[in-house]
Amino acid sequence: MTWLEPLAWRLRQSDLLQLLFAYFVLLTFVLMVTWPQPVQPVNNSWFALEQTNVSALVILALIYGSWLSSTPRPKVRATLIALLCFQLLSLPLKVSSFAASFPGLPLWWSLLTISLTVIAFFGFGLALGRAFDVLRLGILKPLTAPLVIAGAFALDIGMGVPILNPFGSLSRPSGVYMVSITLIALLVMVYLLRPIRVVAAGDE
Amino acid sequence: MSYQCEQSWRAKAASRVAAAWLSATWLSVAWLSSARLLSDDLRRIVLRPIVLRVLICVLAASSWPAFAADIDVNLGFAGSLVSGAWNPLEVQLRDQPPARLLIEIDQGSLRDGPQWVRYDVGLAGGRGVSLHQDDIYVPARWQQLIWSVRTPDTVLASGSLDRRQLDIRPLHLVVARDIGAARAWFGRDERVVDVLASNLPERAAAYDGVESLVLLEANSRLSLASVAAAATAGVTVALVDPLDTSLGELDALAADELTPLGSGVIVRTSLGNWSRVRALLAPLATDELADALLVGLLETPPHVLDQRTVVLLAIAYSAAVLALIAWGGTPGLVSSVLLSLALSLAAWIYLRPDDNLLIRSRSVSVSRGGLAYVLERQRIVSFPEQHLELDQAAYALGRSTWEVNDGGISLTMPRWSQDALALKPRLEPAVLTWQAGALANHSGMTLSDVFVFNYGQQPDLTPQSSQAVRLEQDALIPDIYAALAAHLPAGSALARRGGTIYVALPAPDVPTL
Repeated sequence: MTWLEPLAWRLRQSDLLQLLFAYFVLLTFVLMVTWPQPVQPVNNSWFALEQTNVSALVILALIYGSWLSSTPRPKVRATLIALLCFQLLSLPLKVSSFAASFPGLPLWWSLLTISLTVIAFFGFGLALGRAFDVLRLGILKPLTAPLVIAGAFALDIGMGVPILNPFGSLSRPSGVYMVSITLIALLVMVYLLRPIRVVAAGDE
Repeated sequence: MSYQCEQSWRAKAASRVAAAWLSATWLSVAWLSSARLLSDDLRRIVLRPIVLRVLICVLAASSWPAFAADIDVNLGFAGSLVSGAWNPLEVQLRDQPPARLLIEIDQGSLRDGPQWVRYDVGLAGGRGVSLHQDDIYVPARWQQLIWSVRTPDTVLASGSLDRRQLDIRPLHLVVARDIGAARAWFGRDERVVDVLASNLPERAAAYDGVESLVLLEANSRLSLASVAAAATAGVTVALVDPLDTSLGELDALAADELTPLGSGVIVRTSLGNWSRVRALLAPLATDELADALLVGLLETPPHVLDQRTVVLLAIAYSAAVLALIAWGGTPGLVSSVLLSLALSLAAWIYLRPDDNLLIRSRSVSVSRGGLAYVLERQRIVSFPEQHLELDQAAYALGRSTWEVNDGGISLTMPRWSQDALALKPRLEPAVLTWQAGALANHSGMTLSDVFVFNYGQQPDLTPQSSQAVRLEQDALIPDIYAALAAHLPAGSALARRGGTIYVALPAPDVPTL
């Protein structure tokens, strides 16, 4: 349970707790707006809920990734797992809307791609944040989220297939997106889970 | 639409001429050769190629006729098609290989582009004659109708109709040796069709687009079953008195001046009275009656959970998770994850219906006596997108594309969509009829919600029983019958069992024929 305690501690910190609250408020609001009234013939709640969910998690992953690029890796790992917990804790809302909406793709696809997307975009945030640090342009970190999302859109439009656009594969499974996002997520995991080399003071 | 394959006689004639010519060539060359009138060189240069050619041609000619014979395709009565109704279809193959009949009807428009209704059935074919009889629904609005009889390798016959042949007016069929004078009995804008008695189908649905059938003389073998099928389907069948000797067997079916049968009647009338009889025997609006069955039938797809409950549950769950994480430490986090998984499972079980498809049917069985004409409508709700193949002859109401394959309808339904199907009308023994002023239940089931227009609610009808009708004051019509009321004549009785509504029509009020 050693990994659970830092996670619980990280989730209890005010920033993530407030964001989790805001995240639930956002999803509940979307559910309230899109859940059909008795006279409405179609339940389309899942599509709006999923778009909102992906948007929120991708933006949070990019922001936290860029801001935590210079912090110790355990805290970075805990933050990433906390963001994945957001996805896990919102599962009842998503399952409810999925069950009632009957979208044309399986539930596991949605859960898997969003989890991998969060990890991959967290990695993008880390990389861009580190680049801004090296270039001493930390003031530009708030631009990380719009830059990466715009870049992903531009790449997908240019290539004609969904490669990095997280919204492209929500309504229809895309093998290309799954492969690309899995590879990036694996790289991020390898980077975050590699052993930390402790350098003793006398060695230098 | 009526078509007889022209290629067949041309092919036959061509093959016979070719065979005769080749045989003559063969015989003359053989004679010349045997007579040694040709030199050796001439025989080598001229005779051998000719002999070879003759052999090949004779072999080809002998095998040709095996697949070049008649194909008769008849849609409608004597080439007359009624749009917006079921039409009889008959395909006759003579010495043809097994094939498929494909009829495609474009219901599209300039704005929407082509929207095809496809009818695709297998034809047995083989040596001798094979016959395919069915009924096909032709939509009320179409741009073109294309048909073909084809094998996997070739098209044996094909044809088309264009929009100018679209006509929704019902037919008046006349069976006579000479229709001449009979045309004068009908209005100028009415569609009068001269038919052979032997071509009258024995299927009730085939008469969907027919208003009357007048029998003067049998111009070929007449089947009583076809007359009964027509009457049951609501067609006014008229036997013109004095009855021609060729129609003598109809005496058994219609001994009286007026014989109610199914939803129609058989009348015996003189020529002078025909116009008056027609005016008195207004046909039942069966399509409107059947469409009224859809009122209140699964009109809105059911939602399991209402919006307020969903939002309240979401708020309660979010608050519980936030509280557990904020104040519960590590156990709180584990508890919230377990709560999330448990609620997800519960939501899936509760909100996901067992069936991805809801089908509800209602039918109305209309009768004046003897037989009943059964019209059935179905409402289908599909939750996910899916392709349906239903094992029943039907057409889709309010939609432009569907397919009929070997007796069943198939259609692709989008997510959360609903469709209504009109099943092919059929005959069955009458269950509820009027008998000397009393209502009779001829079935082995109790009929409930018995209601008679102008008389009100009546007691349930027990199996194989009859009961006199009594006047009930202030009796409201049951909701399930409300939509039907506008399409039924006064004095009609209704009863139901499950989703089937039985209608006993009163005898037509025709004082003197």
